[in-house]
Amino acid sequence: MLFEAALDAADRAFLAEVRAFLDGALDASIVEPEDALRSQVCDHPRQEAWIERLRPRRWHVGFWPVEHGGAGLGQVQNYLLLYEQGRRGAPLLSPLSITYVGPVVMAFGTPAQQQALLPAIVDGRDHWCQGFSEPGSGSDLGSVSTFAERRGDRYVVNGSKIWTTDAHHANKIFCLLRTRREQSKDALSFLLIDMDTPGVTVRPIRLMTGDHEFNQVFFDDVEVPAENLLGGEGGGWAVAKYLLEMERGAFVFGGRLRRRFELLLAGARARDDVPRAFWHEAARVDVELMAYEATEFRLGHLRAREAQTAAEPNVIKIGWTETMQRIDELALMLARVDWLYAPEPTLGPGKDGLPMSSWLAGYFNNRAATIYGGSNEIQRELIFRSLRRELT
Amino acid sequence: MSLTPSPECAALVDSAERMVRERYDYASLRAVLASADDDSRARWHDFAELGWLAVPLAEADGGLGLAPSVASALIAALGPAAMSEPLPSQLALSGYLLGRARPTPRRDAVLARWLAGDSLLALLEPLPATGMVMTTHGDAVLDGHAGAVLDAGLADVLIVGARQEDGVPAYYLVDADAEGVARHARRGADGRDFADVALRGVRVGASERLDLTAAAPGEAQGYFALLLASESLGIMHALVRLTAEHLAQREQFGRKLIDFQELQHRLVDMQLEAVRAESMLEVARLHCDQGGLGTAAAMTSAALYQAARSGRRVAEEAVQLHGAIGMTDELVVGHYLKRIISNAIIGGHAETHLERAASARGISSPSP
Repeated sequence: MLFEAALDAADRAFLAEVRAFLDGALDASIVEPEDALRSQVCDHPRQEAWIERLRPRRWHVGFWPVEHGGAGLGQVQNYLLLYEQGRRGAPLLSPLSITYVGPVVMAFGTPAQQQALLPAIVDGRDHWCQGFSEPGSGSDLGSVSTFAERRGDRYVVNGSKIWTTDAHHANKIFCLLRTRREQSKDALSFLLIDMDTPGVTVRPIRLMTGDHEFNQVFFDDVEVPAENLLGGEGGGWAVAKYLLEMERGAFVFGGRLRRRFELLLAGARARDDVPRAFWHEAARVDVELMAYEATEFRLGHLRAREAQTAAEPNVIKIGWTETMQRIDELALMLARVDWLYAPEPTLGPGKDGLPMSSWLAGYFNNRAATIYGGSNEIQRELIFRSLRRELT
Repeated sequence: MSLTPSPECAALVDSAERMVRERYDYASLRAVLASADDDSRARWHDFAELGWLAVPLAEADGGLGLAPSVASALIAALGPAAMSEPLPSQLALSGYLLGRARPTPRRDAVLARWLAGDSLLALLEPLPATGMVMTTHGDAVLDGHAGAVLDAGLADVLIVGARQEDGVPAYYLVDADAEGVARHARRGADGRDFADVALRGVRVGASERLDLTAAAPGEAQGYFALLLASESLGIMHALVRLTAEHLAQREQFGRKLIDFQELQHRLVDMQLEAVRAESMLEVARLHCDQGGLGTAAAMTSAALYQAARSGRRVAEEAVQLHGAIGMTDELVVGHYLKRIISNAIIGGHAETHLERAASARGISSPSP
């Protein structure tokens, strides 16, 4: 980690503790194999096995406050924990429950909701998925049309959510939907729904690589108890906005991208047909990646929250997604004909898509990174607003 | 931990920002650049009084003994001035390098005058092609020619790197007006001073010789790379601000330019490049301060490369978004582009720095 020399004694000791733990716990049965590079979504058995090993230290929910079952790590230590894991190939834990639902329940949930929902995430009983996008509402989330009609102590939900990652694994879904017909942000609410409620159906959608990561979820007269509302009726936009900020800012991708880059170089070194242009380009990507690693730490985890200009999460989201795509494009410089059908390497754990090189599939699948979580055009819009306030 | 600057650093940055605000504007700079007389020495006493020249020197030499990151922050703050006074080269290649030499009466006297702002130095590196050739040992005679030496037209004393018969370089202090020294000075496109220097039969004694470790000249070059990247970063910030102001003020098709989404996103991309260069520079600063300039060489090279690449993108976009006025010499934008390009060349080409960083970091083909 590039800023290691600047860590204070406590953080340095924590880093040593993390490394010692990973030396023992992160064995070959857990590390994501090179085949898994085709996707950012790690297979679930591997995630579960890793969570089991993190759980005694509460490091699977490292940044959660202690009173909610977390390890109570500060920003820098949380960064160090996640960076080191990524650097050494630990499975990327799905952020849906830990990074999205947990924090919004802490911020907006009633005490009863917190007691019911947070331990179920810590203990691994609940797996959440995210119901935001709809066929008619992508970047423009304020226009969602899935409707929850109040009937006594229940809501009756009709509509559909799409691009729902992990809906085929999750037992719960959180939805941004409409509780009034008019086009106003106050008409939006945030509703928590059990996936096994009658009327919920999941249709798989295949990516261009054939991989199954996301789905369409349909709601037909789905009855949901009114107390499943988070943030009150009409309070959905505030909850969703808070969650999106977590989504953009809470990741640590530097270590993971550094590992991806080094695996690529190792593969290139083992071959005798690599064009010189590859190494020239790799030198540029290396520096860009260092700059991204430094940006992620400096703006996302070091700078005090009160000193942030609010655009930091957007700068970081653009940074990791576009740097990842730079690495994928670098990988394409090594492509051979057999990458198009390659029986070897295999599809990778938990994948049933088209057999092709994991680097090639990674290139295809990662085109999604600049679209999801608020497309990078939306991120530029938000950065612009902050720049305009600051400069003109 | 924190990357917050120390109080001394904050005070120096504050003095630099005040200097830029009160004493530097493009109209005056343009007049200076257009005039035949070089007045880039006029402000050196002010720089000395503000303590800027003392930054890279040890306390034993009357300096402040501050870390490279402080000099970097100072130069970044001065970046928007894009001044003709050659502060980055003087701090790194003159003051810092001379400070690294073991004290002798001659070295101490030259350094004291430099620190007071009374004299400038220029470094002639012993390049193989044009390098000085020593003809005898001990009391030596310098003969040779060096082209396009930075600051050599302004300098009172030259630090002459000469290759001895065994190939090992030796460094001598030579008065710029000593017999046998000929200089032909020119102003570079970015306002900096360069000179071709020829030495014919210049006699130097052991007392003029600098006692430097073999690593010192390379470390001074690393320092220089850090400062060039810092100046370019300061210029990038200024370009983003100028471009935002221009877009906010200019109207076409009945709308402010800043209301066109295409232009908004391009402004954001300029800012993202500046963030990238700043992040890489922060890494280099930390590595220089904590590990020393020698072990930080890959990082200072990477920072110079990233500042060159990002700086070019920012400055080219600034010209483009200003339109035709951005092409003229009436606006500082063009001067900034020239300075950014110059900073990518004069301290060793940015592409050479990239190669150096890559090979130090093991990013190269395994086969020869």
